[in-house]
Amino acid sequence: MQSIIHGCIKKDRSSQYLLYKEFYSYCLAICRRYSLNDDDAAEVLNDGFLKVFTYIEKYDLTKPFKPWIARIITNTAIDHYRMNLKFSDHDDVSEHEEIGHAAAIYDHLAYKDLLVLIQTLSPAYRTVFNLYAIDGYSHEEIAGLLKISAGTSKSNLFKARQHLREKLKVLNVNQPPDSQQEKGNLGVNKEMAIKQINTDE
Amino acid sequence: MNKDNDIDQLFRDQLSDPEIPFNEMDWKQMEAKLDRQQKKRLVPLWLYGAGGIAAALIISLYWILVNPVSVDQRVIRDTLTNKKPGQHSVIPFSVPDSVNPAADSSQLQPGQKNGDMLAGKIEQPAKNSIAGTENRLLEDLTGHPVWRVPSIKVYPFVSPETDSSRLAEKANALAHSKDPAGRIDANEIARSVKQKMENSLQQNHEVIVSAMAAPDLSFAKSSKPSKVSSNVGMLATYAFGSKISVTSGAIYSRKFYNSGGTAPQSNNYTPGADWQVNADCNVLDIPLNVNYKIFSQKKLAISLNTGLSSYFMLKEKYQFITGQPGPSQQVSTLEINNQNQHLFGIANVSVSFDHQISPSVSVGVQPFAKLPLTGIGYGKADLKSAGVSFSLNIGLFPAKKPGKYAAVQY
Repeated sequence: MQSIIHGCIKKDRSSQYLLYKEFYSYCLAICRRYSLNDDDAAEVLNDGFLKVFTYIEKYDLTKPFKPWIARIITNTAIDHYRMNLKFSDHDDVSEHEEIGHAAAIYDHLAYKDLLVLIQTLSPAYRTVFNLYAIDGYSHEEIAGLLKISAGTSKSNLFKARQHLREKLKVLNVNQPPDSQQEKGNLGVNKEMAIKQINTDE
Repeated sequence: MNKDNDIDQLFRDQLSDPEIPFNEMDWKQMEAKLDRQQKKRLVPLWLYGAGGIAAALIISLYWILVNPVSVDQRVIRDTLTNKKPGQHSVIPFSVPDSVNPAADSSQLQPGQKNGDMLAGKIEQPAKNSIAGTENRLLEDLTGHPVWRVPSIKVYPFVSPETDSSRLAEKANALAHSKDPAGRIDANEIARSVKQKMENSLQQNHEVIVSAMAAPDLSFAKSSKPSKVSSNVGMLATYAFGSKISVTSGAIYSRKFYNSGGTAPQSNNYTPGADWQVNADCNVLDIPLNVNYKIFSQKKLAISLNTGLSSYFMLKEKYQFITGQPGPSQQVSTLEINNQNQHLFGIANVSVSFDHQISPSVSVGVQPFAKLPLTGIGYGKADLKSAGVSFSLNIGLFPAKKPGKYAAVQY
């Protein structure tokens, strides 16, 4: 790992490839839950990696690499959120349809289902939910990052959870009762879930 | 609250670290991004280069200003030291007391006082010159060393009460004698020396630095009149001889132009609609031109210049306007930085008129045209520019050993 990082500092392309491949899944997962769809996620991923390769010489080798790269990727996702704020500040049916098509190529059902759910949130709700619930930021930190008040952050989190609960209910209706408690496998019929989401609005 | 934690936990567990298969296509796009970034970095290197040239020019100017070298003194001294034995009559005029190099033989009329002085002191040297001996260095009333040799010019001012009338007669006779040295007319000699001095002044500068500013009008295909574009820059010219020189440097330009037309009916987006693009571009222009001097006399020089320019598009701002003015008109903008470079993509042609205002300083006016050899900028525009450049030119390195004669003050 250290040699790969040293190679990246020297702008060695093969080292950059190895680092990219090593953290591809981990970083793309972050990008996907912050983004509207796969294409946006791939764009955020590469913008984030460009920053990683540009600033890698500032990385402190004595500290773990994963949190460092996660922070850069998350910040890049927030930058994209800020950039797209004025264009996509609402949640509409056409987005859901797009997500439904994108969801058809996922391999892991549980992951995909929840990803679809989180991607149906409006960008403002999605970003706050990601930062607070998954990445562990406080409302004060979120307020600073997104240039909103802590109250707005709390309100957005509340609405995001409410929205997700409603969507999960739809999924639960379509799964056997014995598998409902099973963590990591919601046992959802994928086609049905997508159908439900699309007809929900 | 517990319910909230559950839902957070559910998403955290499921979404935090899934296995997503690696997609080579994403890496290909990443590589393209990295390549673009490396390309972008090349442009600032050029900017540093341009900055370096500007800094070098400023240092050179400072050097010139704090170490003034009197070209006049050197030329006079050269005239004296180049004199061969027996050629005493080559300098039969009075070198003026002033340091004005343009002084001609009319300054040989020093007034009555100087005439008296001449009349009193000149007899012996004149005799010596007739005898073919070396001229003598005399001193005038101010104690400055001056060459004094009799000439026809001084004749009318010689006092009749002195021996100088006899001397004048002798000088006159000299002028009509068969001795080739003696027969050279004083005016002619003065003219030849003056010519030599002027030539020395004009040709001694191997490097000329110029600060220029130029308004121009830029046009693309079927464009309407647009705002005046501006150019400012520093240039250096290196002379390979009296006629041929090369010029390069850095010019920062802000170019305004527009392009327009009607979209064809086959256009899927806006069939048949009128469109216009307004462009506002910041360009670094690095020219490399060859100059040929076709005319050079006294203080005026005219040169024909041609060469190639490289455009580095630092910033390009475009405004796309589609449709007729009104609610249906669509306006969108695009701004890109450091994306387009056109190495030797523009041909330059110009004529320059330079007026010498002092031995090392001249001002120039230069009508020019810039014609594209390739499409310029994001829109691959056929961008032509025509304008007039105004420049202040300063000659550097006028002598091989500047300062050597600086102690000699006239």
